[in-house]
Amino acid sequence: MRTRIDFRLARQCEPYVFLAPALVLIGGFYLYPLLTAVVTSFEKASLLRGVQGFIGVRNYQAVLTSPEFHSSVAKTMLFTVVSVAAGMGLGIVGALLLNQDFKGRDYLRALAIVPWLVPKVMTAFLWQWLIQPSYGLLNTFLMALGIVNTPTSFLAPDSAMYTVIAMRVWRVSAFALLSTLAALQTVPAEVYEAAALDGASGFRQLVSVSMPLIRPALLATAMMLVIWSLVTFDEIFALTGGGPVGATELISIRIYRAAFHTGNLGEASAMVVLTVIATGILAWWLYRLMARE
Amino acid sequence: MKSGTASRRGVARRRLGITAAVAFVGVLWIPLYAALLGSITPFEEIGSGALLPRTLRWQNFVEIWSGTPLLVFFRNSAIYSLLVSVIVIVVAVPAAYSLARLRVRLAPFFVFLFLSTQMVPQIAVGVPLYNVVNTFRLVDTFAAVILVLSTLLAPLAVWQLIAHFKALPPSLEEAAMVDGTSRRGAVLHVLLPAAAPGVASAFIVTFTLVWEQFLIPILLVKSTDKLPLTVGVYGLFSDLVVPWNLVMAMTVVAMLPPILIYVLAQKYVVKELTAGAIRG
Repeated sequence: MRTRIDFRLARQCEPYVFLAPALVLIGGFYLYPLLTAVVTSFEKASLLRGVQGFIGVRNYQAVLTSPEFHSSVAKTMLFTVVSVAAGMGLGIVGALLLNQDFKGRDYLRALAIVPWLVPKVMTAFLWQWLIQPSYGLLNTFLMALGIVNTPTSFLAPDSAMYTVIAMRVWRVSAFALLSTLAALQTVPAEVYEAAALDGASGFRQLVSVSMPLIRPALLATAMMLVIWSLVTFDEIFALTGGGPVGATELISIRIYRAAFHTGNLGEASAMVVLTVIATGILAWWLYRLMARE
Repeated sequence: MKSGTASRRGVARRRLGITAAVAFVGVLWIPLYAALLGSITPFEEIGSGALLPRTLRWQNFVEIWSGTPLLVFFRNSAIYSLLVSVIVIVVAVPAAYSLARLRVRLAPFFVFLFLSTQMVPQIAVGVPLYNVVNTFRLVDTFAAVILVLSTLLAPLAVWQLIAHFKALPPSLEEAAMVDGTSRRGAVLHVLLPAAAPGVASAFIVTFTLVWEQFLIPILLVKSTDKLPLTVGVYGLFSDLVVPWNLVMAMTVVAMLPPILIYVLAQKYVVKELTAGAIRG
């Protein structure tokens, strides 16, 4: 009798035993830190002096009324919208070009994916070198073409944001290209044949046949890019550190600087909580949008 | 006659299309070309503005290993990538099996919990993490980076493996269990071999993702002998102690492993890459 109960108990526990190692890790190094952040967001806490007591919602007040925070939210939005739109556009164009039938196409496709495979920090190094005022290839180009007379800085306060966006577009367009190409390959050839029989031109086939069919895949790609772009950190931090004078200080970088440069853990945690809530709402909304498609 | 013009126009259009495709990839490769060019340029010729190298200096790729801790960084990246990938697979296989095959109460909650780790910015975990790691007395240890990265990357592997396990018929393990094998045995000896390509691709994706991690190691390890390539080269780079041609040689060396791995494993991995949320 006892053994049978034990056996049933063991069987009921089995699914959770299998899940346990993953849940232990997630509990210890994901949920626990996030919960700590929630607690710290209500405390006066500094990196150097530790916790100095509960202060209610003062950190939230400070964050929400800070013009720098508003500006970093606006920059994050701009960065996300422009880089996702341009990256998707370029990726789709590239995918259509590489979807043509020609010799050496596979090699060209493999080359086109490489920007996505470069580790993010290395991307920043590549771009730093490319846009370097005195040695960079870009300035050499522009001066040879007579577009500029003296070396230009692409990381000045008024230009750094565009450079950062360009770098991001470079990276994500390769991803958009890859996913669009994969989606295009799922469109059966008969669909094109039928459209061609009906007298549709190549361009017409594209607009009224392929695009509607791959729309869900494109939407999914754009959705992932939006979520990733909102939390971009590595490549911007390595290229500009958020500067000059905060010109490229997206939310992730602002949180980093608040916590580890200014040392205000309380306000940094409040920003963490706000960001997690905002991404949560957005992710849920995008998920619903996807489910409806 | 008329069809002749049409086909000639067709040929012209085809040529234009192919030219555009080559031009597109060419433009995309400008930053990579600049780096490759820089990496084989002699020091005296940096900034000469030449678009083709006058002198090829392969010696740069030899020089970077002496006088800098590059080899140590490279070794560390290999250690982190390898160990985290192993831990992730060990943790993710049973979890994915459980969610794919067994009746788990609150299964949607667990799936949401796992997915949420991919949406929450790393910095959100990073800020409080320092104190957490401090509590466990793990500051500036390999273990801290390995445990945290395993945590943040395991859910992605779980997600991939669920799909692979669901694609296999449940009768596979059930048959083995009828023969008296335990469930653990059935998973290990029957399901796992059948799902080997999926497990391999989850391993590869994890490996390359660990290779590019930056924020977590920069927060958790400080001593040079524990830094991965990303943080190590960033340090050399921002100190500007290393000339540009050598920095570019280092960058090329550091970005090569993930690219090579993808090229070699393309068959498995490209499908994964396009199938879902992978790499930020």
